[in-house]
Amino acid sequence: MNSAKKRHIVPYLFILPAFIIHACIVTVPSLSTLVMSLYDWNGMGNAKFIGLDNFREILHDPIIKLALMHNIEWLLIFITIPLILGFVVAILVSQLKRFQMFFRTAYFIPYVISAAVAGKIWTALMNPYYGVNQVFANLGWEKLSKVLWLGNPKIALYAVAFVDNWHWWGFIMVLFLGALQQVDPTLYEAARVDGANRFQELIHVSIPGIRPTIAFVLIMTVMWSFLTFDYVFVMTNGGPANSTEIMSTYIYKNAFVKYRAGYSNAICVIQSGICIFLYFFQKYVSKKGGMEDE
Amino acid sequence: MRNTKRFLAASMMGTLALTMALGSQTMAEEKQKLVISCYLADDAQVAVREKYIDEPLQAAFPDVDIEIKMYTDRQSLQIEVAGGGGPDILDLDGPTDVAEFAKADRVLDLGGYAEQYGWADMFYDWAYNSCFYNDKLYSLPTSFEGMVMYYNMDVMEENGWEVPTTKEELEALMPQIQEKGIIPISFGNSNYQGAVDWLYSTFTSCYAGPEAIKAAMEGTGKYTDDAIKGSFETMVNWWKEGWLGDNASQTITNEDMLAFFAEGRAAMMIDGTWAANQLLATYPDCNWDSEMMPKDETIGEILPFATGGGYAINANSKNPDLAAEVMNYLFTSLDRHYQSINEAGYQPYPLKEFDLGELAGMDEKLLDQYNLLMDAQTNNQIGYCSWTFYPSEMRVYMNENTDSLFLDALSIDDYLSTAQTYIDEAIANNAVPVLP
Repeated sequence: MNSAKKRHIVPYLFILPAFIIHACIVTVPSLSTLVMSLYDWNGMGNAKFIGLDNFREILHDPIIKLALMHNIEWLLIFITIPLILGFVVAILVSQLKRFQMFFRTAYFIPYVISAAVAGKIWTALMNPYYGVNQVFANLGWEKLSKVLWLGNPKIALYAVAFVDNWHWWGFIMVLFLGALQQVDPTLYEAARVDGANRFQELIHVSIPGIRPTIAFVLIMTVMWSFLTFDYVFVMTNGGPANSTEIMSTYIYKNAFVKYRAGYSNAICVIQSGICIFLYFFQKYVSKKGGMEDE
Repeated sequence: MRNTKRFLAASMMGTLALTMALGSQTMAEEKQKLVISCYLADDAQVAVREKYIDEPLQAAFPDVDIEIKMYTDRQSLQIEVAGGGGPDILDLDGPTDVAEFAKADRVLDLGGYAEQYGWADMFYDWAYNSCFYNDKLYSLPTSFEGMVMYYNMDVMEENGWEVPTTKEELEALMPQIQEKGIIPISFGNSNYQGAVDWLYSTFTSCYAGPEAIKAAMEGTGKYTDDAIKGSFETMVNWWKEGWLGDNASQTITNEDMLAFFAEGRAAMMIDGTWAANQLLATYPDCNWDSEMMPKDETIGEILPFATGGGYAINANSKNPDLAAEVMNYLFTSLDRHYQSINEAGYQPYPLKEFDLGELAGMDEKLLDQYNLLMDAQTNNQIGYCSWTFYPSEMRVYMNENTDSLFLDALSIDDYLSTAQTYIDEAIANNAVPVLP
């Protein structure tokens, strides 16, 4: 083998171990999910091949439609509130000359609390008999004190989303803050020399300067919104009356409560398909909008 | 020098032979291993289990290394068994749960062992028959329990309320309780959605009557029949009135439900006989009593029965004969069993030989409850709890959708029609549990 060929092969040899591990623990199980989606399987015994029957059933399953709608609502909440909040607070914190680290840490702390712990704490806080409702009652806010945050099907999803948001936005803020600090200060100076005010600096310097971070956060938010599971599972488990059912909790229930692992795999395939589609769609939109390089 | 070498070689050979001989002896003496699954428990519960199960088992089988393996969640056990491993004896949730393992051929048919050990004659027929799936015995019932109405007697006496004996008396009493700012019946299922099966099992058994349910399960009637529909309407109406769970049961945990009752925030509670032990342990000062649900005059008093769990033998077990022997020991070592009930509040096995006289001296309230269960059984006042007598798919559907009835997200007619389709399917597959 000549030295040019050797040079060509060597990099591939370096990534081969990682690729083999990835193939074993990611690719093969993913493919098995695809295969098992074509079977009637209770998760324990022999599986029976049923072709596309699971997918046909998904089309007529009202809970799937409901779960999908809840995931879309979740996406709309998470693609707006934490991003706007995180961005605004990052801008404010970046202006601080002192105590910046304190605020950074304070806002980031909820992110390091596990979902199980935070979910349980918030469930207790939202308990109508001994949670925040008692505080509202003591303040004389009668109507608010009677709200069943997790028991009213009309608001339960938003109550859980609020808690997930409480945990999530600090992380977004730190990402934006890090990106803002990477923007070349001479650009701000140049803008000021050209007579730009603070708002114009934000629009013409800060935002273009953190475009890759915005694109990354958008992509992660879109995908995580469809894969989210922990807070809903811990706080409401999809209830009451399926009002917080999302695709992941429905997948879990089918696999482990209803003993319908084959059907559960089929929903996983659909969920992954949606995520892949949204990923490429978002990439396309970001490129068109100048958020990412072509 | 040569002699020294020969001597060394001979010594080494000798040492090797001795080591191999000792090794093979150790192998022969190595104990057989048997693993039994059990549910997650706290330290106090583990200590009690060690005293009444682990230690007696080890003493009875000194040549066997018996491990009681605690599973933090049900899924871990399921996955282990599906993967071809898992414990030898599976402690499962009861006949409907066992049925899923049986469908997948993950548990053994116990017919042969039943003959060998005479199990058919040991257990009450209703409990033993409930362990059959597709005409084969797959488990043995590990507890004997029922749904009753608990009364906080301090609350009742302070307000001058009598314990109601009929449904009408109860319906007249509940608004009075509510007027006093007290929750009539404590109920919550926010941490375990499936707890609604305590309710619908009770309402259908007591207010539709066991005959209507049996007819529906056997195909001579329908689950959509008026009697059953009426019992669901009663349950939903009580919930909507705020009598059952204060219109907030989806935000109340099982623990809160018990606390509300014990602390007097609620006057009554529909719960299983298992709750008695929790009340005694956690709220020893609570002055409570338990009775059968106030009767519907046309049906009479009914006590919904259930077997709380079932021991099954893992199809992957390398020692199924030993597992069966261990199971037989658990059900025949009655002194140990009486002691565990007396001292630790264990639920009794549904054994014909079970003698209440052996429980003399135990907590009177618990003893009263066991008498209630035995009397209901003797007088054929048996109702049907879903986790023992309903097809598993039907139970899963009902557990997931009963809250939708309370919250007007689903009509009773649609709910019952769907439940009926699961019965039809189970009848077609010969998968309906045997109802007494």
